[in-house]
Amino acid sequence: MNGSAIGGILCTGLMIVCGILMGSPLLIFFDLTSVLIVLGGTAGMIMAVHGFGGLTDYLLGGWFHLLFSKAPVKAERCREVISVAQTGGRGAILMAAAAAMIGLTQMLTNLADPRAIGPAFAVCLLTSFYAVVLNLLVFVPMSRFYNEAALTAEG
Amino acid sequence: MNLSGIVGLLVAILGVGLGAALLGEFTVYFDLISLVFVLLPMLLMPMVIHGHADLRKYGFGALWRFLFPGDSAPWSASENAKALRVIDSTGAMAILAGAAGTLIGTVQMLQALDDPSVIGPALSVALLTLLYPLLMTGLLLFPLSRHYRVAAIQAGSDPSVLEPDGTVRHVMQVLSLVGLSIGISFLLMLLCMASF
Repeated sequence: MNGSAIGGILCTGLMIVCGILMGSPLLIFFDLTSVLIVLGGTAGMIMAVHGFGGLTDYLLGGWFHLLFSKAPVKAERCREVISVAQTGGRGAILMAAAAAMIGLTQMLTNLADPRAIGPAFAVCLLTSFYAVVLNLLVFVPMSRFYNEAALTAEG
Repeated sequence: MNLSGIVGLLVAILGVGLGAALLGEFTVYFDLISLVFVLLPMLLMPMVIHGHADLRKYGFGALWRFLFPGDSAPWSASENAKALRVIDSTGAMAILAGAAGTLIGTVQMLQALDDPSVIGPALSVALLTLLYPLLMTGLLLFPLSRHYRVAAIQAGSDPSVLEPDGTVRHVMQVLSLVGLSIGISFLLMLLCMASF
């Protein structure tokens, strides 16, 4: 158990949820298209670059190791986890930018119909939101944490 | 006491503050929720990455050391590099949290497009969440991080290993994504205002 890691990430996640709840219901921040584009795109990119092990072993395994274990990690494994986390972080940003263009195209072709604007704009903004939150809670902490761990392992 | 450091930081803060005060009322720049939204991740996430002992010693300790070096023994190259990494983590997390907060505010604002008179103030509050981390990095964390980078190089560290994971550049990419989203929401806002 790594208390400060679990506490810090839980508090930050809770704070984001509270920040949303202060202005609106939680549900308007869920959009299936955006989830598919960001999560699917990012997971696919990691799989394509690092193989299936990149997703299961390095990303999930590395994430749970950060939260629940204090055992030292080998330097080579750290480097691998760092590169997976970086692929994930940049992939999420790229996917969000692409999705913003998808949403913008949909929005501008359907300008005459105000009801079609809502879902299209949700795709524009929510993908960026998901990508930023993924970076804040998962990818950037992981890459920096394993950077430290690699330096410790190398001495 | 590091006089040039303290005076430099104060001049920068005064410059920005006076410049902003010339534009008009100063209270519009204060929003407690935005401030909490930025400060909490800024302090908690470096704790996740580096552990609280390192955050105390190389985060707050580095700030204290920069302002009041005193007679204490100078840090070694690896200690300076560690302070650099902790400070960069803090800045990166503040900017990422600000980006998330701005996007939340923008989405909520666009949910209430019926009344154009509330859109402007709502968007300005949303942008404050991005203003705070930018001010913190610009006025405090960036000078500190440069200071410890220079100190690490002077103490004999190899410049190429000081920022190996490219987080700073990555955060800039996140900022450009936020700019894209804010641009789109402005477009939408103008479209809706035109239709009223």
